[in-house]
Amino acid sequence: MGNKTQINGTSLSRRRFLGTAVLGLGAPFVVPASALGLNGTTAPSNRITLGCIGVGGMGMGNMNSFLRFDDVQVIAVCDVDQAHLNAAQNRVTQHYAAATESGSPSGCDAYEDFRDVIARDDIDALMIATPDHWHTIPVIMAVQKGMDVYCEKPLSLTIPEGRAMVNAVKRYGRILQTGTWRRSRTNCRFGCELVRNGRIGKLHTIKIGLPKGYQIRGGDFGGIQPPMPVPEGFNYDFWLGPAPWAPYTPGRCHFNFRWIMDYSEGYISDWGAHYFDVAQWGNGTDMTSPVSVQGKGVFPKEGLYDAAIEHHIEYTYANGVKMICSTDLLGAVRFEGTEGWVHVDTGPTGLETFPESLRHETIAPGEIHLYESADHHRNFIDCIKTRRETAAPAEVGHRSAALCHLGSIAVVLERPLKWDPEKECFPDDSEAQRLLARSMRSPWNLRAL
Amino acid sequence: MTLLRKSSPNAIMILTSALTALALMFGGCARGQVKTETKPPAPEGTLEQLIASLPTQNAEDNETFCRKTLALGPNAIQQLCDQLVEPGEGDDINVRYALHGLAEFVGAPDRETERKSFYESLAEALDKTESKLVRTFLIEQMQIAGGDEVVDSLAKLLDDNDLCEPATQALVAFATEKSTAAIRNALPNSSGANRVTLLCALGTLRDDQALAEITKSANSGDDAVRLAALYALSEIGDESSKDILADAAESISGFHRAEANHFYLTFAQRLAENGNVEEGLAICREVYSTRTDPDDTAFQCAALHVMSRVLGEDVLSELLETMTTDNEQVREQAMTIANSFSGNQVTRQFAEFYRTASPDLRAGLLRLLARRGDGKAMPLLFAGMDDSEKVVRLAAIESVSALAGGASINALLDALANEDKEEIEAAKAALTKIPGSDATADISAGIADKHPAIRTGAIEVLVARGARDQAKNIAIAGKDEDETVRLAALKALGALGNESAVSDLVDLLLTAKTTQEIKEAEKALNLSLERSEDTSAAEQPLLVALRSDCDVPVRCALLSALKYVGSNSALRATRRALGSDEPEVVDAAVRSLAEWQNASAMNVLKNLAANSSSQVHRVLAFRGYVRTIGLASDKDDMAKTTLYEEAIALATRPEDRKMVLGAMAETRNKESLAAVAKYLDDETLQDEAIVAALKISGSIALKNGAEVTAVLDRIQGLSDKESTLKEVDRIRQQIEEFEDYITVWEVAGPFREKGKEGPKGLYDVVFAPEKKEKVEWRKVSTDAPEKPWLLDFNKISRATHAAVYARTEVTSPKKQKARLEVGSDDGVKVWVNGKFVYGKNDARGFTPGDDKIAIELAEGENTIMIKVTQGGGDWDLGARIRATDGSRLSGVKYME
Repeated sequence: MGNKTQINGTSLSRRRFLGTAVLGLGAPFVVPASALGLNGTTAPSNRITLGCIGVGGMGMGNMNSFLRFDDVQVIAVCDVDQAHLNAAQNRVTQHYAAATESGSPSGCDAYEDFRDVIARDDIDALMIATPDHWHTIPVIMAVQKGMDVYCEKPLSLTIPEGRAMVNAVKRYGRILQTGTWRRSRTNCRFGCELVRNGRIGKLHTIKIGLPKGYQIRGGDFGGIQPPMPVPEGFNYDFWLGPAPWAPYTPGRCHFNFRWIMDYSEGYISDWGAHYFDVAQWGNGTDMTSPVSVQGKGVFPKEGLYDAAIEHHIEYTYANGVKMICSTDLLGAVRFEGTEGWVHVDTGPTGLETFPESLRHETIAPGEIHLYESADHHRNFIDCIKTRRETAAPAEVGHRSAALCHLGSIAVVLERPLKWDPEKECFPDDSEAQRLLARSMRSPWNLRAL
Repeated sequence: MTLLRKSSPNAIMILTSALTALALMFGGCARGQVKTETKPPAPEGTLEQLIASLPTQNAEDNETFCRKTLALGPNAIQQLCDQLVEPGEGDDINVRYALHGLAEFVGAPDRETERKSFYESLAEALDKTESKLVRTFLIEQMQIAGGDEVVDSLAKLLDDNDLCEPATQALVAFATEKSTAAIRNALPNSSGANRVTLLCALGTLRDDQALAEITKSANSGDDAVRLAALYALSEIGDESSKDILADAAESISGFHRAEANHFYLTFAQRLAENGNVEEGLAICREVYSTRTDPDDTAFQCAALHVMSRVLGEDVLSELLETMTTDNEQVREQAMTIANSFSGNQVTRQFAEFYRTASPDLRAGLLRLLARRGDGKAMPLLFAGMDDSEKVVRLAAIESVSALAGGASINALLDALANEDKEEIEAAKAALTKIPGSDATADISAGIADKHPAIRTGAIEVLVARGARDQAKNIAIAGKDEDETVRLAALKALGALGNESAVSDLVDLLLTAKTTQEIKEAEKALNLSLERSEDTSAAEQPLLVALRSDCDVPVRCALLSALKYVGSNSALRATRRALGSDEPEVVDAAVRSLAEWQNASAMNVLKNLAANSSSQVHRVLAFRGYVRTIGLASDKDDMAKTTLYEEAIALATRPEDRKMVLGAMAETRNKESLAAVAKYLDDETLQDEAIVAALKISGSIALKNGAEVTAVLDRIQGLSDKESTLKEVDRIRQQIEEFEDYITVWEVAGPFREKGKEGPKGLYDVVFAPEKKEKVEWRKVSTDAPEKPWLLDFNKISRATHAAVYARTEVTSPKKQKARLEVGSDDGVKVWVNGKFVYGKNDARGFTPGDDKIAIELAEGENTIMIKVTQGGGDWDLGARIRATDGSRLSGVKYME
């Protein structure tokens, strides 16, 4: 592994440098105009330095989005899969090589262990796109270190993990953006604004349609899978991390991990994280959760994947709104009110309404205008600079992910469950309460706040 | 729902060696199982029969299974446990399902007796089982709902390198005195990874009885052990640990420094929670005051946060002091924490601090006070608007409306008279955001203010608010004594006006005092008319004004507006103006006619194009003439083609002919194709002729394959342009693939039914056309240039959860069998001559020829009716009639 630093090592502190360095008059060297940002580029001191942890599918996509920005410099990439790592490092190097003529920076280090990235003092922010079971630990370590974080959705694997992340972000005064990018989509924002401003009358039901089964990528991994030798260049034990040990088989890891309960929760959390997030937005319940949940589901009878393949979950909020999430409903999110409905993220324009004229409404000054962001990644960078809250901050990301976890528990227990959204506990059900948290495999431990 | 695969989220599986692991078949909760041969059925009511009945198919079956199994007593549970085998050693899938399901079942409230009995049996099994893999499975089940009855069995495993971890996690989940004691008792003899596990567990359980033993590890040379001990000590929060944690936070460097400092602050919080508030706060203050390096900003933020947790609102005075720091992130953290406190007392403290604060801080505090929403802070915000420092004034202007709402309107209107542009813009933005129609009316009242800047600003804010209902009030300002205000009012009417503003605008035009005002009034008049749904009411004021003794520029402006009215009277008045002695008036009339909004000016324009003495007017008129041909709604494409041909004959310049060819490209018939094709060999017009011919060909190819093919052949011989040849190929391919598709339909609907959703829900709902009830059928031609064979219902209605019916007539020369090829998005039902012949209840995308339906055509006219359902998204139909073998069916004619 090239360019690897030790987690106990030290490196030049960028923030220290920025805080103290003064360019003296008559300095004996020539500073290129680009370094000072005089040729239309951003001066290095004004760039946000970014480390990318988890650079497979979503991670590479996120990283590419950040590479678009002149005021961001990706200086570290990290993955337990050498193939991903090499591809990401090459991508960054080539990107900056192409820009070098205009004076942009170069140099991107590659790491296998995310702690080596967090150990660096010259990184302002992290992009974390590891599997769900690998979000909490790096997020908390990063914010303790003073880094801001863009973390893929669902933010957490469990509700206590999500709460721990929220607390850490709050305690350390950090900026966090959850990768629920529909918060930065005009159709979603406008649809939610229609609902919030009473254009469909009184909201009474939210319907979320999710796909059935799984979408398996990279091979035919249906049915019982044979154990296989771990491929060279893949640190499988690190990939498992805090999750229970299990023998390696290719269908377990990249992308397909989301169909296995040890690492995720199937479509309930894969797409659910997006749609629950939109539902919370339109319902005006970003900072809370439902007060009860009940569910049922169908699970596969054999094979590697064990998340529910069909489900029907009903949530009830304190404001009386019922939310149904089911594999038998039309896709995406539909808000139903006494005078019409709004279906977000569907149809050619991403928004269908009844009456149809709602789509052409304007939200007047003084009505409820929801947080405006046209680009989820850009919004994160802007918020790092302004210290303003992001479009999908930690509490919002946590509450949306919590809906996935509540739903998954309800599907397993198949009985009505009361939920206390303030204390985040099942008040009358100690068994359900135990299902809230998951143990972590030694030596990983959630040293919770 | 089945009992299958309810995976425990608590599942921990530690396997002893890779060799063992590779022997497994695996997956989820039943990781490692292989089915063997089927056995003969077991006798009714026995455990064997119950196990064989798995998986259960629903919740009721599940409960019945669990109750019956538990009723067989502890021996049955023992028997189940005895049947567990190591993964890969046999088939125990159903046994595992049963035990896992039972663990979840007995964990439900009000089943304590069953729970205890079940877990006592599991504990017995755990004690006697040797296989670590089986024991791990049993521990996982214990973690689900087990309690003190299994603690002794788990405690025995805490020195086992493979089982310590799952056993500890189960004991932590119980969190009883007994389970905590078990972990505590195991700690002294532990080492390595097991010790880390036990230390963390005792920290999580905050077990102060283990303090002495934990402390022994606080200086361990093993980083993992040391950090686990520090974590545990921090969570327990005993003051005796202070020096250890302080030393660690100070001395540990590198990666673990952040963690050590985190433990130190957690310790401070626990200390305070345990009653030693002063000591806890002292630690926070120490961290805040010593971690001043820019790298340590997060520690300072965390120290403030812990202080706020300990002190609540009482932290405020210290928090306010920290706001004076230069560190932006720390200041922001202090503000965020302060923002979480509510109440008048807190507001008073803010107000007191505000008086001595720096300008930047005053600005930040004003924004914070506005966010907190305490009305008591309003005086401070209003005072801030008069602050001597601009940064404070700006903050006050930007924030005051958030707190004061409509009550801030007068102050913000006053701010429009400020000298500083930035403040004026901020005031406008703030006024724009204040909610409600009352606010709009109050802002509109600013139009009567004595200060011109306020009058102007108020008008601009009304524009930004889209306040169309204030157009009358704005029109009054059009006669303001101040020219700036008058111009602002005219611009505003241009932005907001419609037909109801026309009278006022004509009046303002007639009374305009300067050339610029006339221009603005003309612009506003045109914009208002362009925005109008009905311009007929504008006719009278415009014509009356035109008959008045108005100046030439005003007359010209009125003529310009008449083109939107388009009535006979308007046309007569404009034609009369052509005879004016004033050249400007004649010019205005020609230009208005050239942009006439309907085809009524066509002949006047044709005449002007041929006979005007002015070259400019001839050109303008000719372009207007060609444009109005396209607007002639009473003429079909054939008639238009004839007119275009006349226009080409009339044109004297090549560019005018090119323009006509461009207009002809919008027609869709074989005659226009032939007309355009005449110019394919004309070198000066060839490029435009090719473009027009291709466009027409693309639209008519499916019905006029022979004519189009002939033109395409010619084009191919004339052009070597890649894009042209590509388009030729595309049209040829289209003819080949999609010839004979039905392109003319009659459509009825959409139809909806309450409570019926999605394409499948609507499939069997019988709507009026199926009942042969009278409905409105609208004739529709498929016209998408890219897919002329596709009937896109979304162009007719954007309805969702609906069904639509399309019908067409087909004439057959004889009675014959045929094949109807149909593609649809979503489901489809088909009737031929009133008889149902085919149905497909589906939520599918469109694929041409998805359904190939055998039908029989009668001699003469045949009616084909097709129902297409819709959930959401695309909504399409395409159909054609072929011979039974799929080849072309000659002699059949479609409706035109």
